[in-house]
Formats: sequence, C-alpha cells, structure tokens
Amino acid sequence: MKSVRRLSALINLHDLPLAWLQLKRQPVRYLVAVTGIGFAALLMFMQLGFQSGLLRSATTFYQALETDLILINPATVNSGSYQQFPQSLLYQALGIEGVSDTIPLYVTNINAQQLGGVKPTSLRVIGFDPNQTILDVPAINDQRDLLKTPNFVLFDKLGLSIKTGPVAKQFSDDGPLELILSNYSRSFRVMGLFKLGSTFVADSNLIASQATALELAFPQVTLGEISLGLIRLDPSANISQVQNYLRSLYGDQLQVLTKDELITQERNYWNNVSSFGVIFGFGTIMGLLVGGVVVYQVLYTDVSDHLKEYATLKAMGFSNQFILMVVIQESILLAVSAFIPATLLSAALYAGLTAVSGIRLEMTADKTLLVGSLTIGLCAVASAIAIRKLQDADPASVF
Amino acid sequence: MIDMQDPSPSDVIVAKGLTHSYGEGELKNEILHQLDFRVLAKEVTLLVGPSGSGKSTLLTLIGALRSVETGSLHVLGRQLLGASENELMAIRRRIGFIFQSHNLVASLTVLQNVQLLLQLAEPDPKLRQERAKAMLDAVGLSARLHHFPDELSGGQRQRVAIARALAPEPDLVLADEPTASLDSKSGQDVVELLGDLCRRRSSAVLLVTHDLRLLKDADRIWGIEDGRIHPWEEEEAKHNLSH
Repeated sequence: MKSVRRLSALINLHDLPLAWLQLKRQPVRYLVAVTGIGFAALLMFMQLGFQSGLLRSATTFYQALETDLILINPATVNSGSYQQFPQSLLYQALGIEGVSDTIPLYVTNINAQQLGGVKPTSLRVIGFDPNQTILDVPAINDQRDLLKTPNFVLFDKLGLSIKTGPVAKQFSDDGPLELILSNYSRSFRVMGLFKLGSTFVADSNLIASQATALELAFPQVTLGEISLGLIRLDPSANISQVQNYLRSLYGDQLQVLTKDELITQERNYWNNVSSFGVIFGFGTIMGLLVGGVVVYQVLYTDVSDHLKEYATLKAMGFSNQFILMVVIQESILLAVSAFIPATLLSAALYAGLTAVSGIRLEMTADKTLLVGSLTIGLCAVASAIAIRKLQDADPASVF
Repeated sequence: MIDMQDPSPSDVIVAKGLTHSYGEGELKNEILHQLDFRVLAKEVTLLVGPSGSGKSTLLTLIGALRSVETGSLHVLGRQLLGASENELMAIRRRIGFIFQSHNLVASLTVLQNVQLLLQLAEPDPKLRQERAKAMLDAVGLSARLHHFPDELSGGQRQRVAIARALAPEPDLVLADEPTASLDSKSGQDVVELLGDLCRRRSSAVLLVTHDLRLLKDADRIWGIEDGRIHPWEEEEAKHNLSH
C-alpha cells in the first residue's frame, strides 16, 4: 500500500497531473502531435491490415477445403499459379491403406467479360466433380447440381466490387447471365452465387465442373493434368502415418501436405519469399519512424519551452525523477490520445476496403495490441532521447 | 564585528572563508573572496550591492543550487561543502525561493502553482488546497485563483511567486528583488508577510534588493562589492544604494 502511494505520488496523477495540464494548455500543438502520431499508427495499421489481408485471401480457399491430405506439385510456389501434375499419380494413393477417397482439382486463372456490360476481369476457376463436396461453403454445396450442365458456373460475389460487383447485381436483379472469355473463344453462364473472397491475383472465383473448367481454361489446363489432389482418409486412419507412406511413395515428385502445412507454406511464401512481405514490413517500419520523429520533435520542443520551469522546479526541491516522469507521461498521453482515434479510423477504413476489394481486412486484438505497443514504445524511445535535453535545466540558472 | 565561531542553533546561514570562482587555469575568475557572514533565525536580512558584485552567485550557493568549492557554508545546520546531490535537494526543500522573474509554471493556474510546491510538504491534497488558498488570500489574490500567469499583471505574478515560496512555511526564504514589480503598499505588505513568517516559524529571510524602502524593515544588512561582503548600517546602505 505504501509503495502504491509512493508510486502515485511519483507519477503525480492524483490531483495535479502536470503532464496533462501542460499538453492541455497548448491545444494546437497537442492536436498537431496527436495528428502526426495518429497518422503513423494509421500507416502501421494499414500495412499490417494489407499484410494479413493478403495472407488471409491467399489461404481462404485452402482453409475451406474438406480434405485430410493434399498433393501438390513442388514446383508450385504459390496459389496464384499451379504447376499441374498427372492425375494418375493421385490415383496411386488409393492403394495405400487408410485412404478412402481421392479427388482431383483443376485450379487456374482466366480472363472474362460481358459484352456491353462487365469489364474484363481476372477469375480463378476451381473445377471438380460436382458429385463431390470439396469446399466447406454451403452455398456451393447447395447448388452443385447446377454445375453438371456444361458451361454452367457459380460466381463468387465477394470479389473486387468495382469489377465483379455488376455480376452479382445483375444476377440478383435479372437472374442467370452470360459471360465470355476475353479471347471470345467460349462463353459460360453464371447460375448461382456464393461467398469465398478474392485474392491478390484474381478479382473473384468461379466454381465449375471439371469438364467446364477444362473447356474454359484450355490450354492452361488439360485433361489428366491436375492442380491439386485431395486425399480423404478413413476415420480410423492415422494421418501422419498415411502421410509418411505417401511421401515415400511419391518421393520428390509431389508434396504430401496436411491442410495446415499447405496454409503455412502459402503464408510463408507471401510473407518471406515474395516482395509483398518485405514491402508491407517496410511500410510498417516507415510508419514507426514517422511517428517516432513526430513525437521526438514535439517532446524536444516541449522540453525546450519548459526548460526554465523545470530548472525552477529542480531549484525548489523537485527531483530529476519527478521531471522525467512528467516528460514520459506526456509521451504516453500523446501515444494514447493518438492511438484511440487511429484505431477507430483504421477499423472504418478496413471495413470500406473490404467492401470494395473483397479482401477481408479485420481489426483483430493482436493487430491492435501490436500497433498499440509499437506506438507507446516509439513514444517512450522518443521521450528517452528528448529527455537528454533536460540536462540543460540547470537549477543554478534561475537567479 | 560579527563573531564567526561555529554555527549556533540560531544561525540559519554561516559562511567562513567562502570563495567561489568560474573558469579554470588562466581563465579562472574569482567571484567571491573569503566571505565570512551569518544570517540568523527570526531576522530579515538584506543583501545589497551593485550588479556584478557576486550577489547571484552567493544566492545560488546558499540555495544549494551550486556546489561549494572552497571554504565553509552551513545552511540550516548542514555543511554544504562536499554535500551530495541528494543532500543539496533535501536542503532546497526547506528553502522558499522567490525569483525576480517569478518563474511560475505557465500551464498551471495561480492555485495550482502554489499547490504544486506544497506537494513536497503536505501529503493530503485537501489540506494542500486549503493552505494554498489561505496563502493566496494573504497576498490578496483570492479572486484570481483560477487565472493563468499570463492573465496576471507583473505585480500579481510576483505575489503568486511569494505565496508559492511561503506556503510550505520554509525555514529560510531566499528572495531576489521580491518587491521590484510591486507598488509601495504591496511591497510593504510583502515585507510584513516575510517578517511575520520569521517570527512565527523562527525562519530567516535573506533578501537581495535595491529597494531603499526595505532598509528600515531589515534586522541586518550585508553589503557586497567586488565579491567581498561587509555589514552595513541603514544609513551606509542608503548612501551606497543611492549612488
């Protein structure tokens, strides 16, 4: 209790919060500082939001897959461009004990448009046997019988709204609509809608039967050359044991991954191998630096302006600690004052960007905690540098 | 002559052979030369002298704002020669400082300025506020409690500075030209306030001043010229100050 009282007296928050009173007395400077630091926090939120949005969009499809193991060509570096492999290799898995089913998937990107309507747009086509359930997306599973008719597809309405929004709108207003490949070679009919989410490499998704996918995406994909192989196991099977068998079966020809391993591999690519991770990371650091410079400038000017007052306080018996605490409190007050509106504004921007881009940007607790810690941390560092100026507060100079 | 024996209980300040200089080597400039003097409790002592005579340096030494280099200086019973920073800070907390340029905290109101310093002396916030209000009332500022320093006249600011220094009831008051920006009546009131504190608390007041009006209220006058200190009678001080 005694130590709490001592701390309370030291930080001087009980009845005369000098740091707050000093900030409040100069509202314009306070507002400028809060704007600067808030902008830095906003910049960090945006970079982290884009980064997590990228990772989420790249892995949403994998997350929705209903499978125990996945076969993928080791030459496939990311989900934006698959290297095909022979379907016959997938069927070999059926010989392994514990494997109950194998499902081939064709995944590739096409460009399509609507004559006189929807502008050319990039679409990821996911082709599979419509008799099978491969994605944990109820709207797809409920409508998959429609896919049995050639050239009938389902359209993802969570795409980049500026480009694909008109498709969902037309479908809702007028029912099924016709799109055509950008090379005018084939057309297809949108028979239903679902929600999955766009990616950084495609504006939206199409779900089709294998046959329709092969027709639309030929010659990028050809019959018997698949993008992914899904392997489902008996409920009693040991997943890692079967995975080991399959690995020894395929050797270097194919990767055998669990869903989590595939997601980790995909995230690792975008985070560490591609330039995206570096760019977003650099953006976050830039935000941190901008904020740091702003806080340092504000605190340095503030300490300089109050130097005579601090020297007077020292002369009258206040400790160095007391004065240091005033400067540190100011920096924390600035950080908190800037962080709260920056978080609210970022959440609003995330919502707006999600609606426009179809890439989900979410204000999560870990993001809030990270940016909050970075903002307070940078204010603490800036105050530690500005505090050096306090040495100039010589109590002997007051007379 | 003043007897310069060891400090007695009534001595608040005792200096013996106090010397101070700035710079080093060939640039060394001795400001104070072998000062011997004392300031007693319950007395208002004036320190008078022309600009550049060493008054400010002497005040900073007595106020424990600067380390003593040579000689002996006892303030409030503590030897300041060789004192640590913490010891100097402890001494400063027992001194009330009144600065010529007021040195108020611009972001605090009149009441808050006085309350701030009382934090070092009074742990109860409620009592702090009562004491601050009472002192501000005593200097005639009870109608200005919630004004900021830049909303006050020079004289009002000086009165806040005086209230701030006296509110903790210090054992020693060091005042640099405390009546410079006050009219005759206010100046008189301030000196009476300081004298009252002396008698009630057995404190001592050391005033640096050029104000001839204060000479008659002083119990003792020290004159300082070219870094040397002498006891002066009222007439002698009046003569020296008016020339």
